[in-house]
Amino acid sequence: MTSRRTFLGLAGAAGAAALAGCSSEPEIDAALGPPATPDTEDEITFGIWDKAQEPAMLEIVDAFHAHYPGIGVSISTTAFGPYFERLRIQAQGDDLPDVFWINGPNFELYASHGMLQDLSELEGFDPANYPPNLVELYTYDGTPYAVPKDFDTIALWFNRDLLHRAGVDEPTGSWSWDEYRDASEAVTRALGGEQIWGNPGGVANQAMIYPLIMQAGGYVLSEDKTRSGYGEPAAIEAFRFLDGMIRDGIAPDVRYTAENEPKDLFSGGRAALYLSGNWEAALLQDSPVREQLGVAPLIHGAEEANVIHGIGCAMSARSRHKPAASAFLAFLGSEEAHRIQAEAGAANPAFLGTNDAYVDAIPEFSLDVFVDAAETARAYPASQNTSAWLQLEELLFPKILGGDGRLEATAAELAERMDGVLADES
Amino acid sequence: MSERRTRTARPRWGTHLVLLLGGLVMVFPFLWQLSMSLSTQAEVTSVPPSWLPAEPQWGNYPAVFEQVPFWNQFLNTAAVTGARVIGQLLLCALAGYAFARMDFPGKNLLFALVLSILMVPYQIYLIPQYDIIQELGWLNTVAGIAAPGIFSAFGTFLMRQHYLGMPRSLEEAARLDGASPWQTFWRIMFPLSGPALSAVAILTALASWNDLMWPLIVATYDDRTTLAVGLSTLQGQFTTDYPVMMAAAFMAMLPLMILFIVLQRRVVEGLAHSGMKG
Amino acid sequence: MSHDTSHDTSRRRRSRDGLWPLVFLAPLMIGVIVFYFWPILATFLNSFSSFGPFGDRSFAGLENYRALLSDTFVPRAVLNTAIYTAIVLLGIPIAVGVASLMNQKGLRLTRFYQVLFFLPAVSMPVAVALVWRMIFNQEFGVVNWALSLVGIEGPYWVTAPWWALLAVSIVGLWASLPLAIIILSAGLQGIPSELYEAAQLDGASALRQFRSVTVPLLTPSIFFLTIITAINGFQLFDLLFAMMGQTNPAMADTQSLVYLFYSEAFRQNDQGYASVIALLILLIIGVFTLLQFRMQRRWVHYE
Repeated sequence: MTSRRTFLGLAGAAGAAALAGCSSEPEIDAALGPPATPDTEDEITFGIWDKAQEPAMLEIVDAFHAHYPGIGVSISTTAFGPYFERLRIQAQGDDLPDVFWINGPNFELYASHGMLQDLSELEGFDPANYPPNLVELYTYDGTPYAVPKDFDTIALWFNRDLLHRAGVDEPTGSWSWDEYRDASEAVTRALGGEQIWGNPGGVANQAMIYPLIMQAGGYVLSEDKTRSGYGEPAAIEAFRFLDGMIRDGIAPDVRYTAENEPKDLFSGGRAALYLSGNWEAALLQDSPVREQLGVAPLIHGAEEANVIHGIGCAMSARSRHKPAASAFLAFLGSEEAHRIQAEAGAANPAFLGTNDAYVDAIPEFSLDVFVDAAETARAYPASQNTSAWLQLEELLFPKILGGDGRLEATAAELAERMDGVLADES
Repeated sequence: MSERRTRTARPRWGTHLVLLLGGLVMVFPFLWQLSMSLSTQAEVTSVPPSWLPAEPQWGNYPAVFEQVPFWNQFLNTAAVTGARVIGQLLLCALAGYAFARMDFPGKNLLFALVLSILMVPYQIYLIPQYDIIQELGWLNTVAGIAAPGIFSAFGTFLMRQHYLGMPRSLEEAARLDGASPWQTFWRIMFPLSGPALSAVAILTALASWNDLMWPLIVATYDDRTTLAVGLSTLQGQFTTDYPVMMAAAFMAMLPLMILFIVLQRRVVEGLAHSGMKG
Repeated sequence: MSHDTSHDTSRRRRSRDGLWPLVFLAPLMIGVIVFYFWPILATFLNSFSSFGPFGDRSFAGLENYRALLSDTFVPRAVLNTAIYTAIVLLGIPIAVGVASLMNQKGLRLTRFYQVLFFLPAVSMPVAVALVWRMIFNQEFGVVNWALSLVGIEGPYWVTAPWWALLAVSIVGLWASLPLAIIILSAGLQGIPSELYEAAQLDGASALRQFRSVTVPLLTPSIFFLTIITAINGFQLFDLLFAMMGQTNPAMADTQSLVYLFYSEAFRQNDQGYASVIALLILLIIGVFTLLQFRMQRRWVHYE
């Protein structure tokens, strides 16, 4: 009777749902195997998160077709915000795209749980083609699990017009912390009446806090990834440096910058100096003051230090189309694909030597500064559960720089909570 | 709505004033949204942003079509919404009637359980539902996006209230004539539910149109997903093209607005008859 | 819990229903069980395990529950959510007022007003949240500009602890008005005009009519609205996320229960603990709704 069949159907669906969670699915060979040959016919999926780079990716797919006419690649673009949420759901459902973008904060999570394909046997992939610290970022346990796609470093963006009006010479080499602070102060004192700041403050981690801590001789994450460096003297020094500028009225406070973002302030000509990465180039091209903008090497403290990060392309360890995916992934890492990226100007390609087109795409911004910085930059700090302590940063950075007089205590609290997260990692 | 002009030929200035002011508060964010959609990115992101564009950037509207497959996504959204509405009209009417008019052991408990599905964060449904849809092979299909939304506790609650409020005389008469519960429902009670069903229809359509998280994870391709998801892709990692996004949001909203204006009379009457009486 | 005007005679007759309830309920219940009950059950089971982002599970007994009791974020999140819900519920009396004005007999432009007040309901939430963010901007937002006209320097609405909660609540209230007005309009139109005429003949003023005729007969609609609004209020998440953003300095103090849930599940990657929070939300809303149903006898007038 209908009711019994319904019951069985129910049980079946529930059972299927339970099983899907446990994933005792078709056996997939863990080894990579040889890549597809030019006459292979297959379809693979490619997941990305930046609409602005979609045209460049489509061009790369077309170029790939020239070599492998039989392999179809479908790109799916998700907004960056929900990208990793969706990726996780797909991973749990054993339904990851064959090839997909991944970034530093999430890399180790996926690699350590066996979600990513071991790429040591990937034909056409030679780690020597990319900056070593980038390769290091995407290596887990001595094995590469992602192919570097692009990279960004940090530098000092400046508005020469505002600097000159305040009587400051524009930076040519790398300024010290004091020079940076003095220049900021001069601009704020001279032009504050027009609502213009020396620098726009903020709590950016990758662009500001990490490099500054490293420049003070400290670290964010210890080498063995078990300890947080936020409670250490070097970090406190970096925090005090930033906090000092806010207290002295040189930079806006954290609530102001939460409502009015530093990048908008700089882009709108309301700040003279801005510590940030080359990803700003795309935004600043549309700035009403773009002619006045330039780039100088990142400032330095007791030490010189920079942070390098970039997107990586990974393959699902459980891809059903490994030969085709291998061919595509290798192509994504090739010089040809990186030249296409460079010419599109949306990202700074990781393949050594292909950056000229990127730099030439926007000559007035001196993007070679970013490229040069890659040599000595340190890899973006990441551990297995980076997402968890990133959230701690989001919660506590504003408090540390909030001017409540408890800077050291709050920094210590951040370190302690972060240590807790690191201890829980497997 | 009977326009019985009993005695007032006087215009009600007080009323109109209050309603207009209230209306302005309701509408003001949209006016700004409209203004932003006609501005340039620089005008929108400047600190402070300009209220009115120097020159209306009509080009932002066609630009939407270049950045997202608007038409495809519109059709998908309409199809998903249509499927959910029709599904709910049937299922919720049936279930609402059963909860209102039939007696069986555990009825109240079951109704409470059904209502309770509204009381947990929607994210807990995402992964299990994704697994099921995946097993069925319905990823990237309208069926896959629409399916879970067809089963609604809210619609059932509303229909139950409606049926509870209707006089029993009709059903009793039908019983005396020997009609089965199904015939009673299908021939008599369901046709009389027109107005309540309109209410379920518009409220379901509203929820479905702007639904974001579920279509986002089920439909991974631009041309298979819904408007809400398409709109979300306009938010980049580092920058968002606000004018184009506002233009897209405005266009996405128009169909619902039109639907509401058309259904207005039926909706309000519908809810009147659904009575909301215990 | 259900308001059942049960007559003994009808109950005896109803037993003739036999398997019909099953037939009527099956289509809905199959879907509800598969798509909704099963996840809730799974959540309940998950609350007893500790597992990371990709499901590697291990039994953890009551550890997650103990963590709930010692988590300092939880009481604040409950408070924030309660305050938000309370403020949004204030929208109901406002909606009663607006709907009454709108539905007066012989008022012109009624349809125009209905469209006007319906607008928030159709909009794309993200776009609207962004616009409200700008409206509440400390430096150049409309709210503070208006305050400055009367000499008050407005606070940082969206980035300061209690102010942010207030700002989000105001937007939540604003967004809830369309639904409320529609439902109440319908309720108003269901009131027979004879009752007003009778009251008028007795010499009752408009205000008196409102209090003695309108409001009591609206109580069923108000009841329905209260339940739905409270349930939605406790689920505060999307608005918070869109209006404040994850890097907001006031977020730690303003997070709602569902935001806490999201944060544990998807940022901290602790799905076991997140499940407990989900169950807490279910408990709170469930108890509140149950109380409402129990109390309805006291104030809801059914004909």
